[in-house]
Amino acid sequence: MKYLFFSLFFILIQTKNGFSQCCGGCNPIGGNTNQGTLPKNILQLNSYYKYGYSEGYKEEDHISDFKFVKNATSNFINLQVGYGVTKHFTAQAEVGYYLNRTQNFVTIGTYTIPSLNGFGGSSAILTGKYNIVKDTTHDFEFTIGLGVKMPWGLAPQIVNGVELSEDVQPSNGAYGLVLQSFLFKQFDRSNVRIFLINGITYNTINQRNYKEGNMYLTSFFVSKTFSQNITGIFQLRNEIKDFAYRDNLKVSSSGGYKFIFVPQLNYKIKQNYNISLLYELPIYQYYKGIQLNDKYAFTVNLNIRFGVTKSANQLCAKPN
Amino acid sequence: MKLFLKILIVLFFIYSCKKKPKSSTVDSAKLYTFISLKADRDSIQKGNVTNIKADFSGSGTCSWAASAGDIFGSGNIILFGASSCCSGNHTITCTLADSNKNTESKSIVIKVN
Repeated sequence: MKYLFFSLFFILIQTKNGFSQCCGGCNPIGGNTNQGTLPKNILQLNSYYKYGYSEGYKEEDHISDFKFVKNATSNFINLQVGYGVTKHFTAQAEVGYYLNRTQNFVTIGTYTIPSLNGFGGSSAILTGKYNIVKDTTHDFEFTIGLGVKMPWGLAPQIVNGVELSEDVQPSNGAYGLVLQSFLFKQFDRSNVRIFLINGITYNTINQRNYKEGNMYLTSFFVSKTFSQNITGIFQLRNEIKDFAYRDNLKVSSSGGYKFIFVPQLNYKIKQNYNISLLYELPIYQYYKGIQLNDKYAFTVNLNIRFGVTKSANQLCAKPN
Repeated sequence: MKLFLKILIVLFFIYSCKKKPKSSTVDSAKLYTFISLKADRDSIQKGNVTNIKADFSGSGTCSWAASAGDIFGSGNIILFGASSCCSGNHTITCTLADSNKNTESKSIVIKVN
């Protein structure tokens, strides 16, 4: 698996010159969030880096005085490759890798607790997306997707002879299913686009008899183009997470929901390249029991679309 | 389309390549005697820690695992602690191994309140 990135990179470098360079696909760039379908024969490479920071604990929706983990950081990279197989169907593959998942601890009594650090592959997801409605006259699109999530490894990571806890494992070691829908509407006069993404991630039980809670995601985006190259996007995301289960027993301090505000700036370079900066700020978090408090995250996203031909461009254009 | 299929095939093969497990055959006699596995406390509060010591004679290396909670450090003495996630009884296991690939495991249960 560790050669995955190199192999993908090699293939893309090898074949890059074979594509004609033209314009982007139909759908707006939404940073690291899954998009709708791609026009036929268009290949999209999307890669992002994400840094996340958590500090202290929350009990339900207020700060808890519980002390154990002082803070937690993560550095994550993701590579996603999508291809427009037909006008209505897009196939997509993605892999994620944690450069680190680190927890730093408070001093407990006379004990100075060393940090825990996990790193490595997270999971791979293969997704098929089908475009149900595409009305170019009214700039409306509805797409659904189904994906299979595979863990990078089934066995838990061991560092210096010690098996790491779930909180710093790079992979949850479980298979999963991902369901998603994508709704898009553009308003020509104001140059504003809105899109709504819904997703459900179902996790199976891993080898340690631990089941991570299922995740329900709703993201609402408003996107406005300010100039030829710059687009601003405001995203409001809601994440609901079910309880986790260990040995078929509910983990009381797990699950909850949160609302996250994500302002984003997108810069288009030479038609086919988009670079985005995102900042994730949780505006309301409700945790069952006592859990680590997510403070913020930021993401740098690079999106490249290859193989956009004149005919593919016409598919995106509105009929007169 | 061909490019995408190429990528998928590469993904599949890389993903399918699993390391073969090493042979677990016993080469010769054990180089250690695993005497005991003891904790300073058999019950702790969430957010607290306790020392756990693997006592053995001879030459061996201890690998640690916990059914839940965190293990800090390495070697024959470690700290076990539990965050808010982990009330209940948790099994901590030390698997002692020597250079002849002999292994022996001992476990203890720590109650987290």
